[in-house]
Amino acid sequence: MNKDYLLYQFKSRRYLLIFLLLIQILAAILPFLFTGMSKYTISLLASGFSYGILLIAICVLTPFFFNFVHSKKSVDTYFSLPLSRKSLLISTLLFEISAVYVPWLIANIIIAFLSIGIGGFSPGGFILMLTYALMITTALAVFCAAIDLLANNAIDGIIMIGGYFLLPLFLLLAANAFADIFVVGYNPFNFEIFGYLSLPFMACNAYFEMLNITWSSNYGSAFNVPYLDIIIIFIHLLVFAFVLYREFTTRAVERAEQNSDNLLAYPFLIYAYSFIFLFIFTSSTVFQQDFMAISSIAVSLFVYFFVFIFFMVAHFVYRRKIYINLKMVSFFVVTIVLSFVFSQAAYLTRGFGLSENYPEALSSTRYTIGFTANRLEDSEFKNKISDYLDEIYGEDAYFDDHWSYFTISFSLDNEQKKDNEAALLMEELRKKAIDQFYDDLHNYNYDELIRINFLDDDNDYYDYDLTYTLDAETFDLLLKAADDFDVDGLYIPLSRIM
Amino acid sequence: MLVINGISKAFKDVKVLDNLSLKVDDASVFGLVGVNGAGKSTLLRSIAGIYHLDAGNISFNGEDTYANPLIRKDIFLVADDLYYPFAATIKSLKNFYGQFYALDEEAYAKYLKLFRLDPLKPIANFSKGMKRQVALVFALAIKPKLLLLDEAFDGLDPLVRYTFKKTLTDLLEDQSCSVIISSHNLKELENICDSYGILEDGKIEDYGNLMENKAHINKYQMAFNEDKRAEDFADFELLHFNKLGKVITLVIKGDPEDVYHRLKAYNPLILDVLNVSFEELFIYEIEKKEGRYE
Repeated sequence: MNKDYLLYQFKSRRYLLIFLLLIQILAAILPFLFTGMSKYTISLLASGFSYGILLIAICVLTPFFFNFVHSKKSVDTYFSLPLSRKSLLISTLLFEISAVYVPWLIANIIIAFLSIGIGGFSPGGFILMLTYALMITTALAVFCAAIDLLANNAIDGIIMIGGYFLLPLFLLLAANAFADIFVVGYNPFNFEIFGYLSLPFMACNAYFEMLNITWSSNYGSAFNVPYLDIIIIFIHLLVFAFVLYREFTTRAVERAEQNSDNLLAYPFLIYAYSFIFLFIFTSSTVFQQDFMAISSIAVSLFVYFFVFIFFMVAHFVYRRKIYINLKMVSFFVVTIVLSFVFSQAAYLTRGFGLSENYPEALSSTRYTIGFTANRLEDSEFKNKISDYLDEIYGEDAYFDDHWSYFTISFSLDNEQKKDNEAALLMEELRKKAIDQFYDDLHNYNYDELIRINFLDDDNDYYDYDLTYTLDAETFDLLLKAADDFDVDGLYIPLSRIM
Repeated sequence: MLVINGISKAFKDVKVLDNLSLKVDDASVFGLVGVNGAGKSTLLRSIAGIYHLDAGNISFNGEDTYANPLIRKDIFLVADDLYYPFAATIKSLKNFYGQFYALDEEAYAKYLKLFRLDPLKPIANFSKGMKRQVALVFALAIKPKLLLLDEAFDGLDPLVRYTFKKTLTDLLEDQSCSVIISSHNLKELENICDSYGILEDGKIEDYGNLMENKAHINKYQMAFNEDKRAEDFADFELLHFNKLGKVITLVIKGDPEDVYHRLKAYNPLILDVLNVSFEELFIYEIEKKEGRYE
């Protein structure tokens, strides 16, 4: 770090610092001028505003502070200074972090001061929150700078940051498309997993954790420190610090104002997004159609054309000219084929075995079965339901057999699971649901749909839809299970209650 | 002393500097000339430690200018395309450069006055020539041991050019400063350079003492009764041949006295010896390289 250069930055950018400080102080004080809200709510609001400004400031100011590497003129000046690149990098980064963090810190001290007397405030937690925020600020600044430096000009730097911000979200969409379409029962891809891939998401999420640390009235002696998040943020910080250091210290000056052809810049983003889009479209739109139908072909062609337009526009932004070559077209065609092959493989292997993997119903602890009996053809069964409802609500109650939905939930402990008739029945239904899904992916009869939910020991849900005509015998079994064991809930048709 | 040792630099597939070697003595003014795209700016930027070289190294007073940032305290580059930060004034630039270089306050005030520049006005509002003057003020006030001037006279009016050249001469007399100037204006260079280098195809094609080289290249005007061709002078190091009626003009490299006596042996009707300018020297060298005599 070069102390003189750092001081120069503080001096030369004093107006920016004053502006950031004023904004943060306003964000801290203004909510306290509102009336009609509790002091606790106001404190949360003020912290939220302040934290939002911190995050926005990092994302906006990073490309601004590192802009000098993107201009031919300025990069010559800066890189010819008697200053090592390492010093230049650390000084620039340190100034940026200080410029956004210190005003936030002051604002939060003001908020803490104004919140005296609320209760639940922990000074220890407050200090922990400040440390946590510093870590997030540093990690996010390093992330934005590293991504910005992958580009070769200022505009591309901003596009890169946006592209990498959103990439985990689109990965999540693709994974969910895969799970929804090819894995019956269980979606292993929750937002939390992909949240860990996305530093901006973690930074946003950290706000709630920080509030929890500072304001929890149950704070007491046990610190609710989000260790996992801290470790993951630290890993992000290390990875992007490495990328940033490498990109900055070995950066070829002549890259300034050129096309961003770094492998991790446009080439990676364009192909990654194209593959994600093509996979989502192929699996969700094209794959679920009858391939031979003319209408399906038309829809498919339209979808592929749409993605190709995106692909061309992305290349135009990359190269600043309309550009097409055989390699690009080949990639596009190969990606379509790959996404189709991947979809087909996922279908044939029952979601690469994921659908068979969970759950072993007998090891589950809680079952819920719901069924829609819009058209109950079985009169014996219809009477049984009617009797059952009469028993509960009286004979005068009206039963609408066209719109009826039952949910029966019950829990079994490990001993009860082994030989329980209802549990065995549910496992049988689950297996039927899996077979039915993969035997005929597209044809559900939603009129007779049974939905079975399992909740395993880890509180993970498994949902199965099965087109199954529920009969009186099965219904008896379920009722028996509900009677014998702990009935968690019984949802009665709305029309009956009215 | 600046020592450039076998450097190469390519931008993608285009090789701009190719195994270039050069030495520039202390307290000298070196004129760097070459056609457009010859690599003059690349060479100056490489000397300033901006470019990472593909091969070779550049050292100034024994220190690598790329690897050792501290040696860059003694080097200052005035680029052809000047950069000034957003809303910068001369005063704010003084703060900027003051962090890195030992800026002479007295010299700064002196040159500011000499060029009649307002230190508080935004540089963005200055004319092209004034912007260059700002850079020159800092180049002179910093008093580097190696001053690199890329198209130094571009945009300067005659009075400022004269003032700057005079200041540069004073600077050289006061301290052991070396200056490398690249310019297309060879007439300007001729007055101040003591050595020169012609850059072509990424290499220094010809370099040395300007006065010595100029003394060894002369223009000879002769008239003959009979018809003469360039081939008739194949024994000479002929740089240029021109024929107008019976009068031929030759530019020949070599000891002037020796050449004169050898030409006399051709029994010309007249034989005059004329000096060549730096600009002509450059043109003839390039013509020779390209195999053009006329």
